[in-house]
Amino acid sequence: MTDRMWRDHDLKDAYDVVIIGGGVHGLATAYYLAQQGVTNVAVLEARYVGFGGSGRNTAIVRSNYRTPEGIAFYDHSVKLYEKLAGELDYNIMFSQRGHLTLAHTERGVSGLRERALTNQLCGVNSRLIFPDEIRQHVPDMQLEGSLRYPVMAALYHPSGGIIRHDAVVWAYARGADAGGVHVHQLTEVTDLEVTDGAISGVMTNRGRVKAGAVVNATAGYASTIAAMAGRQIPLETHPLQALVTEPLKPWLHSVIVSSTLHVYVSQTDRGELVIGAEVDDYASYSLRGTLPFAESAATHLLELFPFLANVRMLRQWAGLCDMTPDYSPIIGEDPLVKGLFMTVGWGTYGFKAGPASGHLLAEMIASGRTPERLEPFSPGRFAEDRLVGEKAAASVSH
Amino acid sequence: MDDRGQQGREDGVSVMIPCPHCERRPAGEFHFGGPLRDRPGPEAPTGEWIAYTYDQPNLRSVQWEWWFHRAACRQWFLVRRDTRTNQVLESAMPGEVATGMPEGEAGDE
Repeated sequence: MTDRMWRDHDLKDAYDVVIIGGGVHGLATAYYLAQQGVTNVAVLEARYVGFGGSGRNTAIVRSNYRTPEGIAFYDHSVKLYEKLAGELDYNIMFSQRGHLTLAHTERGVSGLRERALTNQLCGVNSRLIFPDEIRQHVPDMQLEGSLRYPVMAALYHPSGGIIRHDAVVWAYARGADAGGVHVHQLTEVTDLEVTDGAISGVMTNRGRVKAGAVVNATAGYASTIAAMAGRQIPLETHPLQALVTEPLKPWLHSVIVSSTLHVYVSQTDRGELVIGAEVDDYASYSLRGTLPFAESAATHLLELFPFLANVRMLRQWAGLCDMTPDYSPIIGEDPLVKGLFMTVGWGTYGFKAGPASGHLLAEMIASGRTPERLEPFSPGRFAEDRLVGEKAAASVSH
Repeated sequence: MDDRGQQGREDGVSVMIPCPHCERRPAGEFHFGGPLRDRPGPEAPTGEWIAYTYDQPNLRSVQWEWWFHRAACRQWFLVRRDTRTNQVLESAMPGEVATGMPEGEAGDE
């Protein structure tokens, strides 16, 4: 009989900080708050830890973004992930196996060249490589021949890779619990209480909780939570679907992304191919998979890897992605409701950012000032016309 | 759970959109145009325009919304859909139905 990884508690009448959402963002924020001495903290999760995007993403970690603000932020996250297994004493299976973003057109090549140079200026390992070197990384990939858009170049990002996403949220939950945080599962927030322009507490299915600070760390519910305080935020929820194949012998050692072909693929340590695409192009909160997605993803995968034609699909699923106008997250305090913090709008790039957003948001809540790396992502940036445009680096590769 | 509804058709494998001209067709033939919203007037304060441009109701419920049938008749029309289940309750040409929006709003687009 092993010990439980985190304890159950009675819900207290009051906490200093209430975090809504038991995914990587909420749990990382709680963990780093405890590290900074803020321990009277509750994480409220409506279902179970990792039910949402943290258990539905395709587990890719990388920092080869487009803008200097984005690159610095995701690089901070990769560096935290690199030491996280040791820090939390848990095997999160972070495998920095290399990440290849393919270009099939002259325009695509010049876009990747710009990204490689910006990455290098920001100290991120990333460079443009051409078919001879691409073949060394992925000898089984078709680069020309019957391929409608031949592969001309790739952005090679050696420090990118994949991770065991469930292990990350479990490890953060255990770390937060050890620091004194209460992790409450099956605890759904039904209303927010705002008094004189400041947050004063939350109502839940288990009763009322007073709090001086409340963090909206949800995806798929971010707008619903904001609306409880009479607020709207700039995001629209779209499903992102993915599928996995039956396990195969290890043969694919890189993460492969093609925006032109609307597909990306990696092979997990147990041999399954994980395949994804863009978000569905209509807003929806439905978690049901669709046949058109599976058909499209499989068709495009076979353009690059025709020999997979007889491989069987095991399962498909969907997660909910809160898409923002600039494909960057929204992190900070609500301009009109004091004490209501948000780490939302995580689109298709949230899991890889959990450590950075949790670390920096915890610093913001504990110190009362905004860390420099969070400033670009403030909720006020839209009204101030300071968008952080990452669509070119985040619309198919997540 | 709230995600177990029909996807607008009996076998549920594809989201189907009922075009007023062309009958029910797979969603991939259409362009989603977002929820029907109250557009500020040209003289409205900047703050109202910023809110209209960026903030989203992003409703987890039934809403009226715009769709465009790009693969066939190339007409914009309105659909009443449950965003939790993708179940489509009805569709209509602009101005044909009472949408709860101000008079004339739908036809102005």
